[in-house]
Amino acid sequence: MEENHLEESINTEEVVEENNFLPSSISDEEKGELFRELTTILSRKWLKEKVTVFGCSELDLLLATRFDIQTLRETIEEYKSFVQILGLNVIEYDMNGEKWYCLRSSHYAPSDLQSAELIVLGTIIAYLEDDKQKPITTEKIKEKLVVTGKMKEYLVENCLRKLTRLGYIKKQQNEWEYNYRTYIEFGDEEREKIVEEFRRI
Amino acid sequence: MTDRDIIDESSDIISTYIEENKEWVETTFQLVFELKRKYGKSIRKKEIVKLIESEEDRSKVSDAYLYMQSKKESIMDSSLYEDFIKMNELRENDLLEQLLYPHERLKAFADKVRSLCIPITYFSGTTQTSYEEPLNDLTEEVIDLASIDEIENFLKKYKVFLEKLSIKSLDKGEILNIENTIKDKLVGKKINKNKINNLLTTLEAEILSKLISEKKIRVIMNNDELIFQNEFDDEETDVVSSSVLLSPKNSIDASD
Repeated sequence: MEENHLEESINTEEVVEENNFLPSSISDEEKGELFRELTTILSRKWLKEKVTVFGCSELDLLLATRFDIQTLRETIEEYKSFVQILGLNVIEYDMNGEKWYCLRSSHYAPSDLQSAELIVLGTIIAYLEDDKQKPITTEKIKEKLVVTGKMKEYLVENCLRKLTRLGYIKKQQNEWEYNYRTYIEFGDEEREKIVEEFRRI
Repeated sequence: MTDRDIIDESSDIISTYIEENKEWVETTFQLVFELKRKYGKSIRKKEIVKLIESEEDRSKVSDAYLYMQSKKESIMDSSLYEDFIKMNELRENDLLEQLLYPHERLKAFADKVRSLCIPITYFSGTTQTSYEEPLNDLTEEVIDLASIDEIENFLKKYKVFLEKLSIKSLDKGEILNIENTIKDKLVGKKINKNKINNLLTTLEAEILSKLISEKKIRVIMNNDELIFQNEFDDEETDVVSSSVLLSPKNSIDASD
């Protein structure tokens, strides 16, 4: 019995040692290199299943760094405070049930979108925030923007396609929904303000 | 007689009046309460109360503060006045918006959405390196296929490109030998950038690249000359290795 107990205690010590392996053993120089690489990885933009995505998934980071999950998260926490000085934030977002990381500006910065795309996106946000139960179809958006003569039909359709490709919205069974990017770039308060502004048009 | 005296005097008269007419006080508070509800609801729903109606309501309760006895009643009264101000702002904003053309209102909406957006930060640009430039340098060489001499000369000239690439696996000992050969050939010497292509085989160029990436050899480019140095100090960070594109003229077999 005593022998078993001793073996168990040795095993526990080994586990503790393994857990402490990183990041305490990473030298400052190695950490600097890791942070530089993280900046490059998290600021990349690419296409995934015809939708623009930013940064990197947690799984890819695990495979690239060969860290365990706890170490990776601790490293990212440290990296967060590192980039905060530069006016950037590390944002976590969900993509098909998988955790992703990307970088976002801490304050206002120029947006990718043109005025027409912002109007269409603002309209969708206003409708979705006003009543989440009511479905938002393309017809409803056109009713507000095209029928009233505010925008041309082809322009609205073009904007919807671009917003889908850029990861702001997605279509589920003929109804429009937010995609990950709207949640990242527009907080709850901002979306509420858009609803108020929308009433004026 | 000052204004203050007049107010004090009139308030004394009113307080006497209030005491005599308690029902009237209750009615005034009820009126304030009803108006507070009305304006609170209108502001919440952004419904504009007409200016005349709003002025009538305000004049109805303009003296109500004189009848408010408890703190709760006074707060209700001041809150109603705040709602009058909010309603006025709402009315003015609505009027200003009506002066804008629809496309101006749309633009203002787009600007507002843009100002509320905190975008993702990323590096823009294409994700692939373009290979177009080297291909543009390609030139054609026309030879007379009837002339055997011309064909032989052509084959001799481009012998390197016609040879099949052989896959050669090396063990650690062989790699070490090649590494030593490279070090003997290059380290501590200044070699012209163009001449180095004749000195190395393709295999040696590969191993040299490996040695440089492993920081076992450092290359410094000084004009057209390459200076090779051996096992430099890690602390020297002000100088970094130069990247040089090599195109060795000798094939692998030449080293055997």
